[in-house]
Amino acid sequence: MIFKIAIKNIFNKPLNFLLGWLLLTVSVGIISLLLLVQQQIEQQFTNDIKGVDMVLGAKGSPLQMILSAVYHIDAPTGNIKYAEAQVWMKHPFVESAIPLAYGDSYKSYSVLGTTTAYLDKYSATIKEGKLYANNFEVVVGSTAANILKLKLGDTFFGTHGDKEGGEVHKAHHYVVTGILKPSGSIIDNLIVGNIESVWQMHEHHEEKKAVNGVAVKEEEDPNEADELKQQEITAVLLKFRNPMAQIQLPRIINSSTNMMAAMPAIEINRLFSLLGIGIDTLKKMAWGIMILSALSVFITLFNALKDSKYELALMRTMGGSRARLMLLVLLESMLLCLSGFICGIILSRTVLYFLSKQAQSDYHFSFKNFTLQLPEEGYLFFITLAVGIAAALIPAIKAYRLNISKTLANG
Amino acid sequence: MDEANKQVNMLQTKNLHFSYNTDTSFQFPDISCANSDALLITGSSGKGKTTLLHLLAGILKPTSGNININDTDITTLKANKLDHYRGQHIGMVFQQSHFVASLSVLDNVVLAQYLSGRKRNSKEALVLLESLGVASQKNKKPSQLSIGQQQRLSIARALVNNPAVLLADEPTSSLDDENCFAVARLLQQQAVQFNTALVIVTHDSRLKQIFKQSIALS
Repeated sequence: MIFKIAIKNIFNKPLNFLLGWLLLTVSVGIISLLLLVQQQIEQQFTNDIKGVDMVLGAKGSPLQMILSAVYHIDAPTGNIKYAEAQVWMKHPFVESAIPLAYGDSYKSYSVLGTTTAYLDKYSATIKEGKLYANNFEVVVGSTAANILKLKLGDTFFGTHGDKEGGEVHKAHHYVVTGILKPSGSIIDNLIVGNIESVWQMHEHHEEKKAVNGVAVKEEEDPNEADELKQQEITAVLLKFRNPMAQIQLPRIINSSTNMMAAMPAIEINRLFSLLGIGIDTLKKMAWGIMILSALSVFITLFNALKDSKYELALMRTMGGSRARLMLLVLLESMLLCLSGFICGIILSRTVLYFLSKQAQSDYHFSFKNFTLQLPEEGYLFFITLAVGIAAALIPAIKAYRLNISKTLANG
Repeated sequence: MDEANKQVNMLQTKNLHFSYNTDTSFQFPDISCANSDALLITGSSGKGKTTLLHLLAGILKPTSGNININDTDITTLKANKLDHYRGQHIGMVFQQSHFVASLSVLDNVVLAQYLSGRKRNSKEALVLLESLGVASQKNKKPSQLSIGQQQRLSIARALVNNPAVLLADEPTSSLDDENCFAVARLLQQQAVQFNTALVIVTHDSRLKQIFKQSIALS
């Protein structure tokens, strides 16, 4: 019954409570959205660097190299000589090394030339069709296949660079031989073929390209091995056998070669801490809004109490105890906050859904987790209830100490 | 039937004294009222009519003296017990009918059952509304009722728990003659039907024509 009165009291004057409810919904929505986004970005990013201790590539910004070589959301820093890279790929400290050649794309989805070790690293398996066997045959990640509507046997031309509208490589077309199962990793958003395809694709205009000022040889070399020596790749993903390598290899490579080595874990931590500043700021704003909502609920209840004083006194004459009336005021506030919390959670999921669509088309990143984030959202729930109690505390105490005789006499 | 019609003193006060402060204090005459009887307490304003009523309802605590309602001295009851006792044994009707605005007519009566600690019984509440002629308004908000209907609703609310004592504070002051007598007769009639002691405090002299027993505060 008390519950019923509390609900009816809220709905009797919904406009009075609207502002407090709205502020609470927005603040819970923002906090919960940030939790979801942060948690999933961090999880996805950490997941993708699993088994990559170091990335080797052309000199430039280490973060850019990691973002391009591991996540394919940035342009490569340049190319390196395959032969030079191989010195380090075969280093005794290195357990495995996966060469990557990329820089082309199809409708903004990256075309990556690599070895099958790359597919194994992300435990990618074929859903339909078969693995690429020849040059210009590719397998397509599940998300990319979905969005690009690529099917087995489809052919397409690659575009130079990672944006749509670049120069189209018309000399050769790619053939889709396989579609990959969803793996929850970066590979879902990639088109993968062998390295030779990428090399062959660029043979004819390498002279024009001259990536990052690295002079590229012009004439065809009849010697296969020699040609391989001169070929270029974009980056190498390395996994160490020996923890000593963590300290030694990057230093040696960075100081004595014209290549760059970077540790993804360090770069990504740096990125997270940069993101963290933004997220923390937004979170603080959201907490600020929540405090405002508490204030708004408090003012609403305080004003409502002036009108409902007589009602409360009346309930006392009908046998209602002080504690029960106090409970009624607390309940009104807590119900309001509870509905704010639920609506905030729903709001955050709705926004995330649209954000995910946007992120998929802009960054090939999608948010798939819409479940309740425990324990953080559990804490948020209790904080919301605490806000409800705090906002109602003074009005509830006033209700508790109400002088019924005086109220009735003046009514 | 004999048992029910037996007259016992439902309400009895002794040496009742109350003071707000050193300047304002009241010494009340001893009063008593039996079931099915009605007692009118009159007096001009400032004589402590409302104070006496609030004392009888246990809303105020007397400085000294006793109030026995249904053989229980309510001046000895502790806060929560007193609230509970009031809900079960005392019904109150006020000059201006106030209700819980967000609840329906029926729920306002059910609320009185609930707050007194009894089981909610909307059938019983509806029967009572029926006998007072406002059952057809049960789903409306109290504010949508006419003043006469509101006064009948507040009588229904006061009687729903079968109280030993029905206290009415100026129940007719804001009503015209016709409604005044209708409400007065209704109160009297219900007091008999519910076997309740009826105490009315008022300055409305019209009521003296209906109620025989009266005490004037001076």
